[in-house]
Amino acid sequence: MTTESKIDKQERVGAVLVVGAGIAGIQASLDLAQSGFRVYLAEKTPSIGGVMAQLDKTFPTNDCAMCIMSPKLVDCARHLNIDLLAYTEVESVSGDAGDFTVTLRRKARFIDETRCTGCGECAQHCPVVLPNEFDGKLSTRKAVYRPFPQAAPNVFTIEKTGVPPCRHACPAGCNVQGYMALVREKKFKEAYALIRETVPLPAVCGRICGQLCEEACNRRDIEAPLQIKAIKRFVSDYCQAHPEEAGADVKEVAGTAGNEKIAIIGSGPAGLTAAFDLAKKGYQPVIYEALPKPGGMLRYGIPQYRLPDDILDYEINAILRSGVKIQTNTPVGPDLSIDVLLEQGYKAVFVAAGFSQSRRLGLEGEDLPGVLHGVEFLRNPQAAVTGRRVIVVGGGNVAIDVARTSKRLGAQSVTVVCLEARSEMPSFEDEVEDALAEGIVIRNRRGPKRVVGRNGNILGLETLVCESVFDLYRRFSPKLKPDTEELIEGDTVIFATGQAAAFSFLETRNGKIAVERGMIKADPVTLQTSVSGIFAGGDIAGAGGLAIHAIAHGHKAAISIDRYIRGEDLFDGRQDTPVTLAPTPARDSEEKPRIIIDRLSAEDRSSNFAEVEKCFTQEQAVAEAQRCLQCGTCSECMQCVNSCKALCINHAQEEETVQLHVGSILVAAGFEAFDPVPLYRLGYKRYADVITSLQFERILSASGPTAGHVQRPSDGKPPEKIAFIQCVGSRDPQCGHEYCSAVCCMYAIKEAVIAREHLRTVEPTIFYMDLRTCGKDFEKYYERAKNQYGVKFKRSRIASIEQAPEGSLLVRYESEEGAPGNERFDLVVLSVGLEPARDFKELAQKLGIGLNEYGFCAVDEFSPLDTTRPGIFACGACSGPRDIPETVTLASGASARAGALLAGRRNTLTKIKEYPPEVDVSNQEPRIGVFVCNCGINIAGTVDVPAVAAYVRTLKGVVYAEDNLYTCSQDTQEKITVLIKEKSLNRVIVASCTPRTHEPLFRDTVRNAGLNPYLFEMANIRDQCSWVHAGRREDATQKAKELVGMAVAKARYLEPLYSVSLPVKNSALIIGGGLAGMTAALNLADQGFAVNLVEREDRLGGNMAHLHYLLSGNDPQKKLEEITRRLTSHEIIKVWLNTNIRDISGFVGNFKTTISRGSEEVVLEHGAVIVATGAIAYKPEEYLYGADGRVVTQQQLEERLSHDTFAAKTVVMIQCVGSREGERMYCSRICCSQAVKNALLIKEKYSSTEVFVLYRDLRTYGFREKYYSQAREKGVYFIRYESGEKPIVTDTGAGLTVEVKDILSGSTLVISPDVLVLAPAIIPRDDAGIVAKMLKVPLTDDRFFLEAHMKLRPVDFSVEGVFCAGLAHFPKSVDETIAQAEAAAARAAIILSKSEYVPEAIVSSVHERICAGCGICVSVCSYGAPEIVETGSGKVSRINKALCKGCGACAMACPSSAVEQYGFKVRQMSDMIFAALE
Amino acid sequence: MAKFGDDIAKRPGAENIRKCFSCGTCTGGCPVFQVESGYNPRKIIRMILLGLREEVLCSKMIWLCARCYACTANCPQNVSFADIMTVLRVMAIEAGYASSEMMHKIETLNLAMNELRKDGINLVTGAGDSTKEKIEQKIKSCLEQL
Repeated sequence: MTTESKIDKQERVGAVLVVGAGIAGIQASLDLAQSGFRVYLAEKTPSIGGVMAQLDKTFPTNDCAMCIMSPKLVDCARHLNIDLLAYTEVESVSGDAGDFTVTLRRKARFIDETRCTGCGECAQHCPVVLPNEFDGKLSTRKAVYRPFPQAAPNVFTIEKTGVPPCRHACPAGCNVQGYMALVREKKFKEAYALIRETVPLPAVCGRICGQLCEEACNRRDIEAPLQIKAIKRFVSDYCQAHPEEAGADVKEVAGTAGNEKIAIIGSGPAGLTAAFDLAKKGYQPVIYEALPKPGGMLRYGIPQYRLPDDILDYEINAILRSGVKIQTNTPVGPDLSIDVLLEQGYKAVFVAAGFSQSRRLGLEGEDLPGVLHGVEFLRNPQAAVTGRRVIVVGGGNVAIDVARTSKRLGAQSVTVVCLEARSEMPSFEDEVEDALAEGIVIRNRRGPKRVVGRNGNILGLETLVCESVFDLYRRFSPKLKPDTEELIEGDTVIFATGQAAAFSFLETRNGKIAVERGMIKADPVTLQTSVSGIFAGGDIAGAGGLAIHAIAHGHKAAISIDRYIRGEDLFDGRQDTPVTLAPTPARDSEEKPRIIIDRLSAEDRSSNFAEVEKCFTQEQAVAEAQRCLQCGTCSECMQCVNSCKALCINHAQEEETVQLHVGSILVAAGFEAFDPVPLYRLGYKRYADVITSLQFERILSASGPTAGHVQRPSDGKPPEKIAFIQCVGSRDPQCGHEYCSAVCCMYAIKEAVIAREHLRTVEPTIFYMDLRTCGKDFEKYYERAKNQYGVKFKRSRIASIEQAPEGSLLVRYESEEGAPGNERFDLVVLSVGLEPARDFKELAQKLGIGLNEYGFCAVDEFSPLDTTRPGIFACGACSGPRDIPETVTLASGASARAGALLAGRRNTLTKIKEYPPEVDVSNQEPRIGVFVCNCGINIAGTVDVPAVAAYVRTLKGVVYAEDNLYTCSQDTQEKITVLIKEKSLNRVIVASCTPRTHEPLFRDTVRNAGLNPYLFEMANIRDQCSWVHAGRREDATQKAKELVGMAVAKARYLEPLYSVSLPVKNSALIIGGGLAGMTAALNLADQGFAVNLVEREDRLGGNMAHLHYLLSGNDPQKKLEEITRRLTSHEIIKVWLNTNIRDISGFVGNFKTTISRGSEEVVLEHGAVIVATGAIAYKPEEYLYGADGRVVTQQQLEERLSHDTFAAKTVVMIQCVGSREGERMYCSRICCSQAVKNALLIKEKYSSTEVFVLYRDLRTYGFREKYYSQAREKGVYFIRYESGEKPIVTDTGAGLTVEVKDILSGSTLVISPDVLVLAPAIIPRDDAGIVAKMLKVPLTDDRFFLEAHMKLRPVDFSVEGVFCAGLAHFPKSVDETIAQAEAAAARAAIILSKSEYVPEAIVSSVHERICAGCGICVSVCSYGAPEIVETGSGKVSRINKALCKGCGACAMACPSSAVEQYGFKVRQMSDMIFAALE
Repeated sequence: MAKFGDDIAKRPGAENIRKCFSCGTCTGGCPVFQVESGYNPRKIIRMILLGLREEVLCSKMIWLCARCYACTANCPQNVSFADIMTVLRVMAIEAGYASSEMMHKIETLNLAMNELRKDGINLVTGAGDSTKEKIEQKIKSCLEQL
């Protein structure tokens, strides 16, 4: 247990990293920080709190988990010497014990932790709804969230899982998931604005986009991709139709650039986009358009029935309103060269002239009259002469557009001839289908040979069969088969076989713009051409053929041009930026069919140019958008950014790497609940009403999904019968968990009891194998559940759960009577076991620590807190399944281990807060300053906050009042400090949220301004007003005024309070020299604190002296020898053997204890006491013990086994002798393991000896289950008996017989053992009460020492400075004793590490003149603070300020009002009441 | 006393019998137990482990198993009770507690029962051409074979 390290003691780092911030990590951090170490607390999730935060009540006291935990969360978050690194993961560890270097990865929250006030405004506006893991997915949360309201740090986090595939697929990067989310929320205006950020022509793209996003949509794998294009169209059309609501004149971003002029050639989508972007940046873009109207191919290439002109005009006009100018009918070319433009002052040119002409094939007859070309035809179809029978050549979108336009212009027949097979056609599939429906014939796999004409008239097109379109490399290389000529008759042939650019502007004074393969050569990243300052994009630069490609080029060009003009690098940061693609989320796989888009029928459309596709209705659009899987989680719709008044959201935030130096590392990585999905027979996830125990905790919780109403998930009805199924994922090697999870029996009983408390009619039944209620006060809890709450317990492992036809669940099992049990339940709760956290293996590798066979952290029985790597300690459930008190104990224990390693380096890295000298306000009139908080709109949404502030200004004593957006924000804190000085304020009130979380902050603020912190008062107008009176603005405002008025009334009488610090004696007294006392003594001495260890007997070791074997195979005697040697040789430990305690007086930091050794009496002075007085074995009066030498106890058996004086053919062991019955209604915890241990020993040494273990419940909890299995395999008989039918032991004269009824076989077994072994109860020592009385600490009903709080203060007493460890507290095993002793040492070290003790300032005081000395205050005080003393004039009560906790109980109880509590004096309270009644 | 359990544990398929911790999952999920609650796998295992050799091998219980393996599938301790039943049958014949024809007869019965099941279901659903008369005839002929 020594902590060796290569690092010299003085070189070690006085800081500790704690990994994992559940209750273990929190407790360890607080212990370490309070005892002088700098602590870094790293937690992978957004908040500290762990699983305990999810729990409802805690056993056995039924305290609310959150109520008892949240003060610790606040302490941890506010502690000066704890750096809370939430949302942070460990990356690597190097170095040695004493000096580790740790690399941590701080994940991006996308929220500035230092600015976020936790107001929650962002979450209200977030449209992304996700299952809430905190509520076991029984409720929902948003993508920006805080796991629970009490989270610490109290900030929000945006969850992102990567770039959604839709957005990634869009060349322009359109945030598809973002506007899907907004459409779901019916925020069409916002959706339109979001689309326009990347797509300046939403209505156009909503009609004619190539929908690459839809091809990438993950919904495709479920049933069909979302119809994104149609939703985009709906949004655009809606906003065009509702300009007043939509604010269609989108507010343009004022640019920061100068007013340079940029020339853009071509007004197609590329040119328009670049112009729009540049205008938004502040430039003056001018577009030169050769044709009469702007729009390029959008206007002159796409027919009206797909994209009506008015839609295009609308969107171009919107772009023009941003300051873009267009000069139509102005071709750039010979008459207006680029050089001329540059001379006119244009700083850059963007060439986006598109493909303005058709490509010619050069076939015979191509120039005949009546032969047309696609681009030219579409530019002005009405003007084109077409005959009655039209042949279109080509398979792309232009060909289909030409064909359908011809049909609409009255062609009798239209035939499309294309090289590709139907499935290979490059045109949009739905366009082809529409064309076919309109009666257009498509001849696939035919190529044109020549146009046949006679006498200037066309007869038709001669075609050949096309054998293949592409070559081996998928390059376009059609092969036409000779001699397959076929004439397709017709009088008009239109070629739509490709487009080409017209170049008339390439020459510039700086050189010719380079052209390659018919297109301008432009850099793919920057779009810069071969000539500096001239950029090219869109089709002419090979954008990719779709409008959205051209738009993408427009954006690119705008960025380049901006950089070019600013003289910045064109490439920087634009290449190879890594993209994390979001994985397909697993959360929603339910099929949701796509919504069918209405369209005009073929008859209604084929003779006119009306738009074919109709727009979604609002309902349709919303329903379609609801199909979105939200792959990226956060949709980056920016609603949060717009809603956040604290301006703390940063979607560009990146994760950071942090490096730390620490002396030690504590691993508190916790556990995860077993996922019961693989246990098919239990029906989890198949039946809605089969839930896990963790989900049921949330159902029971008042803050849970049903607000604490017991309802079943399927229909929300209150269940009549609930079944709890134990050992789900525990004691089940089939699912990989051989071990017992140790906590499930108790939590199931608790859940059953709480369910009954919430719903009196509910009937809970618990199905179990062995009920393992072996903790302190657990057995009584079990008895109460049975007898008072009517919880049914059935000893049966259930076989299956099936859905019964009428909605209930059929649970099949074998009843205890051996009959088929087929029972209906309305709700089934699976008591899921504990397993290591999913990423624990990975973490362990990074930390370099070993794991045990079950994947938990490997620790040794004698050093239960040490991992395999020196300097790294483990605590909590990561080293084994355990409950909260054990977890907290281990946490303190681990901090003691780290404290011993780093002793001497205490207070080397801690920060101490310095405050300015305090201003004396004693003779001043009250000058009250009041700060009323809006809390974003948390308060302001309901309460008229300025009105409250105005009202407060009228109150007596108030010299200043104002309202703040967030009173707790850093800038407001600074402002308050300034105002206190400026206005000479001597009382400060903040009216905001709860003092529970914020009072320490504000007290600190006034202290920083030189005021005594107790001159601060708080009024809660949020939790107790705005939150509970939403929608009642006037009433709530009135109430807020009254609440603040009351605070003002009290503030007038506030007075400064001080606590007098007391010196601390830096040594400890430990009572008891057993394993617990010795361990605690060694640790404290290792930590540098002197110890007096007092033992009444003549030797050290206590009960451990009788231990010869351990289940693990470790040698207890060797261990005892080792620690005895270390202890007796330790310089600062003084061992007093044969010594008794006579008297203890004093208080925390300053105890005086009189001890006696023989006739010698010594007085010891010390700062803390650890009680480790142990316990003894009950001396059985049953089963012939004492009367027959063959009847022995387990301890006696062990003694015999160790001395080889054991001989028997048959051994019977009887468990629970004196435990779990009568006056001792508790389980002695260790006897089952002891019986298994000794049975195994017998089987090992004497394999032919038969061993029978007669038990009630076999309680080999945790990893001990393994040994129970081994014992069975070795042939040990385990026979259960009922407490009502105990075994009967008789001495027949010929020998002993044991008669026991075997419940399973129904027969009565008669066994004749040679040795009968009893497992007697462990009972407290007789004199426990005497020690308790001397220390003024309580005992339980069973007379074990009673800790301050069963859950969270397991080694403390309510009396400060006194701690407890070992069997004096409750029966426990060797490893548990060691851990608890270390924990007690850690808690004592907090006091001993300080030079002075600062008691509470809010304490009670007695007016001795009034006091009658009746002693009632003494009887109500839990802390032993008041004492009746004799004065000259009679008895009075005096309160020891060092012990008083300021609870006020004495002030309440005093019949003559002689006791007053500072901070709550009569005048202060009565004036508050009068103010309320005014 | 332990001898019987040891003997069984040596036979293939029955190795894990000692691991049983008497949870009763085997029995709860057993379809035979649903109609004949005297047939109790958990109890049979206990009797084996307590060494009640004759009582077990003489019992008609060992012939009742339908060999559906539900018990094996559900057992948390990997005790394959269905295989243990086979072992018990073999041992019963070996030890002369049952005739070797027994195995054959049980097999005949099983086949007949499956036939009955099939015909019965056809009768219920109206599929196939089974009639009550035909089924009765089949049952009779099966009974004659036994």
